[in-house]
Amino acid sequence: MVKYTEEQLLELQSHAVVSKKDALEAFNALVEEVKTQVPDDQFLNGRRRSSVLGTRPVFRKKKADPPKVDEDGFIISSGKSTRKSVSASDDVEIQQFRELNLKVKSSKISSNPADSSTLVDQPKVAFNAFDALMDSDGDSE
Amino acid sequence: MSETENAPHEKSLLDDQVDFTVKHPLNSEWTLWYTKPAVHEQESWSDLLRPIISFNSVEEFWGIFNSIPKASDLPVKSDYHLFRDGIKPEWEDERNANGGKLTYQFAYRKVDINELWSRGLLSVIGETIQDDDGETEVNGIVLSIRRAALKIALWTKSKDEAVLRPIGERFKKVLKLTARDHIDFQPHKSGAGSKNVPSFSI
Repeated sequence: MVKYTEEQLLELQSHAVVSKKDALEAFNALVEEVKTQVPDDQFLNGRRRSSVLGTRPVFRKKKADPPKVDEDGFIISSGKSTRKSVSASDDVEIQQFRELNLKVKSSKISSNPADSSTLVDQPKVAFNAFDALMDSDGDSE
Repeated sequence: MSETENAPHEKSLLDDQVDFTVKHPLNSEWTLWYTKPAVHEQESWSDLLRPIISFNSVEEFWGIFNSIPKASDLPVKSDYHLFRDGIKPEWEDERNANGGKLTYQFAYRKVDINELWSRGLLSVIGETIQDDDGETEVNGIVLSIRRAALKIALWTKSKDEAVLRPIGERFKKVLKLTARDHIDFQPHKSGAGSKNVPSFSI
């Protein structure tokens, strides 16, 4: 039996000969094709998602354009509503809702007597001692 | 199609280089097989298992080894099989049918699988895994890349423990295992209900 130790075989590594290049190229192409068809995490050599390493993707926000300024230095309004998702028809609906809500609120006003101390426009009548004396003088005459 | 495409391939000096450089014949001719992971459900075992290339010299072995993907570059559910003399890496092959396999399972990512697989290959093609005299007992060696573990198995011709035990001891050294590690032998044909139970450990 022909035998070679590991050391003997390793010594011959530099004498490598590629005799069937086509077969090897076809095999490498097959493995590459398989790699594209299986998920990335199915490899031993660490081809995994970056999130596994504890790093998170960086989302770059687009910086807002600097405000336009008129000749006097005032910011020119673009005139666009910031409520981008609300259309004109929505505005009508919102107004109708507010009116309806107002009616409901007014109908819910309590019938209990109001606390006089909370009333703002109530006429205040203060006792005036001089006026009272004047009145009594007239009566006596 | 042009005339040059139809013309038979003329041998160049480069093609004949093999004949001049081969100086170290191996004891057997070996064939490298590959099991690719199933990508489609319709793929059968025979679709997945493919012979890649055969060789019978040390120099050819190195030429192949240096040209193919490393063990660590293979996708999960891939297998490399190296079998001698046209033996198929299937237990149904008559030269495997009465044998079994000595297997060791490595924990995922805990070992240098490229080094261990190359050591396994060299011990097999160099025949140092076998006894000095007698018939060849080792039919082939298999590397299995799995999600949970990496397996290297020696496929044997017989299941005779007395014959396989010294081979198993040498296999442990090749795989750099310690005395606490155990290689299991599992025959291809087991008794009913004992398919996954090893018949002995080394």
